[in-house]
Amino acid sequence: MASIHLQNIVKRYGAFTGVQHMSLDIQDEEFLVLLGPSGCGKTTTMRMIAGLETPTEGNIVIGGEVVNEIDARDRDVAMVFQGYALYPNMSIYENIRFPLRMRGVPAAEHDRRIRQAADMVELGSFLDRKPGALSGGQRQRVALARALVNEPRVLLLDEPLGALDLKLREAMQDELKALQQRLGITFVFVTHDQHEALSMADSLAVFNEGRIAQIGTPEDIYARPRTRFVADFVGSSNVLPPDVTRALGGPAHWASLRPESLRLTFGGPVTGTVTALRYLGAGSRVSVQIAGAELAAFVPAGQPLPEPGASVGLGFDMAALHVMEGA
Amino acid sequence: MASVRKTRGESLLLRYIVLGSWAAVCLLPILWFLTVGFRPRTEIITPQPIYWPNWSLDAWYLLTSDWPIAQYLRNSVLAVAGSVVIDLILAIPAAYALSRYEFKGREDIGFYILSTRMMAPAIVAVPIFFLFRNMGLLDTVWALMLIYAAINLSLVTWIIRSYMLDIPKELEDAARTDGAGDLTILREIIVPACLPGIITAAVIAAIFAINEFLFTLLIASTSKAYTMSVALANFTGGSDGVIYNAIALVSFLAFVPILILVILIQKHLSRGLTMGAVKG
Amino acid sequence: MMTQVPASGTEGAAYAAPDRPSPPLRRRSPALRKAFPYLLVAPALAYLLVITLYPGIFAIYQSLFVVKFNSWDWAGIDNYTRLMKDREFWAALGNTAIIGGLSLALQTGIALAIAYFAYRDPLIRGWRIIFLMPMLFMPSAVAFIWKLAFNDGRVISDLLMRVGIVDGNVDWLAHIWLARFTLIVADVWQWTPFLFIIFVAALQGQDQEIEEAARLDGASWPRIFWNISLPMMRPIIVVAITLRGIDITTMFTNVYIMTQGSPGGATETMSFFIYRQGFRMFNFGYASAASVLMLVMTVIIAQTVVKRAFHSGKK
Repeated sequence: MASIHLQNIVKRYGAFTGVQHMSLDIQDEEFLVLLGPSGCGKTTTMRMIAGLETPTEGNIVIGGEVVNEIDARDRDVAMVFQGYALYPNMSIYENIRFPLRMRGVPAAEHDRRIRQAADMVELGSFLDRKPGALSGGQRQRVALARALVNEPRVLLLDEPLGALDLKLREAMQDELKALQQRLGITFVFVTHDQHEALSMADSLAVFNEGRIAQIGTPEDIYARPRTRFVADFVGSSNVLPPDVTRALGGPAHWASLRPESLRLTFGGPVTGTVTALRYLGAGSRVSVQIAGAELAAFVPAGQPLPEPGASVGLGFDMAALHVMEGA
Repeated sequence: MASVRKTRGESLLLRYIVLGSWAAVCLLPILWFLTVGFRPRTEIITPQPIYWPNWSLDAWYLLTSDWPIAQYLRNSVLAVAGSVVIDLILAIPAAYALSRYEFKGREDIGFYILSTRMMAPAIVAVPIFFLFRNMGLLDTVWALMLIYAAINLSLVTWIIRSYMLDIPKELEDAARTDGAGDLTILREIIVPACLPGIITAAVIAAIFAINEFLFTLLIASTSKAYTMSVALANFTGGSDGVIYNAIALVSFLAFVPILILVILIQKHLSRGLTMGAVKG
Repeated sequence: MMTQVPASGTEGAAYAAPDRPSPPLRRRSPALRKAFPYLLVAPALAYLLVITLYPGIFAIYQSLFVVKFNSWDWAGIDNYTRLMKDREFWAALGNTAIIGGLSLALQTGIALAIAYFAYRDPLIRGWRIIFLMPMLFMPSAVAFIWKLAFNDGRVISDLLMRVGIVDGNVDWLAHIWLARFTLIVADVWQWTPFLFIIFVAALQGQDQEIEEAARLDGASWPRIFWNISLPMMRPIIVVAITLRGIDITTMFTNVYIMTQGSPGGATETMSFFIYRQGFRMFNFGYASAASVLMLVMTVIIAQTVVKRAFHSGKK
């Protein structure tokens, strides 16, 4: 019912094209994450869904209706903004109440629904305060409550956790995921953080230069990136040019090989020289010069590490060598 | 180390000499003029200036008995307050459009509004005089209200525009997705968020309106429309010569409320005076 | 991709959003949306057009007539040719430039100097209020203060005699430059605060780190001010001087109250010239012709100096 379809969307700003012929289907009750570097068109796409931008070409269909001409205020789509966008002159209570007033919800229902939304995000005792008196995490919860109070069909979240510190961010990721599953609302979540994207998404769309480079489940995208860009951007990867792929026993094509799929061996079919070591906490990353390329291997903590300059072999499962369709 | 300390000390002395003397330049004429307000007429224009007068409330009695000072005050307040209200009603929507919408001709319209500030009152004095005469508005407070509003409209628009530009776009987007229309956003989000700018604009407009002289001189010809500013010029009447003690008293009556208003908006004053070009 | 998660718990049930019927979507007129910003500026614009464009056209029209009370006689460009030959008109133009220019230069210099000394001072809030005060008097009151101090009350002469600079009462209205001097003093006294307030704000608003870096490099305060602060606040100085300059060229109140243009028209400004021609001599057509010329000059200045000043001010 609240599925969203983007059909061949183009967005131009003067000579610059922000989104190029994009089609995207978002299922009802799905948690879709739009992932990409800054300027890739993911936020523009989200703003077009919200109605804050109008596509230059193509159609946006929400719940079976073309909404190109419908103002943001009439779309029944809620949004959580990067900077939270709480109204500074209103109390938290009034902030959450604002969408109810705007959408003509009977006043008698306001209090109940505000408290319900506040409880849902565990906001309890701050309702009388002004946004300025709240911490980042609390503001985040207010923004969520305000977006949810009207029971929207679709919730858009534009890098909502970007301003929080790491610990709080991870806690909020779990909460958001649980909330979405409980409410059954379609979530569209924009982020440039690949860890966040992988851990939260039902479905993940990787954006690059105004196009969707790949869309699929997080597992699918991590294991089988279609292009060099996706392999490189989602997780870290050794992106192998065709000649290196062949030297490692694959076809003469671009391929991706995750560092954690590589094992250091003594001798073996493929040997190289260790050029650098980097300690990562849970293990170390070892750079090995091999077949004219530099490959990174992940060595879990506790296993022996070679010295720089040492000669080592590399072992891997042939299945881990993912040959990419795209270039 | 010693030399550093020495230059510091010297520059401090110089600093306080400079600042102290300018403070004296500012304050002494004001204090002296205050004494003028409280001395009898016989001690004002004398062959030898009298610096320490015999205090008297002559001017006060003169003002309250011979001059309809309450009427002047009422005219001033009415014309000034009315003009500020007109300005805000016209300027807030205009500033909203200029600061938060993209539309063809925006820059030109904005600059045209700004440029009306550059026009010398004398340029339009003759036509405005005829305009108000034909409308039968000469010598009324309404004419003053309209003309003060016109003088300050550019300033008020630009100050408010500058403050509106500072409001994050996100706030507006949020209100839009929450279901608010353009006018609701203006009323409920933008106006409260730039209230300091609106107040600053109103205070500065009020001060300029209180001070306005040329138009008031042309439009007001009886105490029906005389304001404080022009009433002063009237204490130069006839055989008495200039009645300085009354003038001094009246100017302090206007000065004190203005001083209080300005202290209240002190933080925003530089931004207001430059029509938003300087962010204090 | 769909994730099948059964809605569980009471909250989930209350928020079963997808089950409610979606209201029909409202469509709004795109034409209205496009016109909306114009509708917002229209009232202000209309008001200003009436108060500037109408007088402009009226002045141009009236300047082509000789107007005596209610009789208008066609004069063609006579008023303009007469103006071009009118020594008083050129004198008024010259006086406006001389008095305005000197006054503006003095104000700028003094304001910069006291701003330089004041902005780092711990008592800046107090200084600011004191230095602001002259600006908060009604201009007509200020004119009377100085009229009394110079002319009627002889206070300035007396003070100068006491320190031995002059040895008799000075008649300030008797000499061209003395009369101009009194106008300049009154203007400088009242309006230096305007520039001071802006300069101090600019100095306080500058990046502290740059100053600190310069201090660590061993630069003295005067050097920092001259070589770093001044160049950085140049756009602000330009805006402030432009605004003040515009106001100075419209100088009227002080002339009206203090000198009435004497001696011999040496202190008559453009504004006073127009006022005198129109409302003292009732040469309305002639006054309008002068207004039109002044308007042309204003438009030229606005289009060049002011436009640039405000663009650089915005950075």
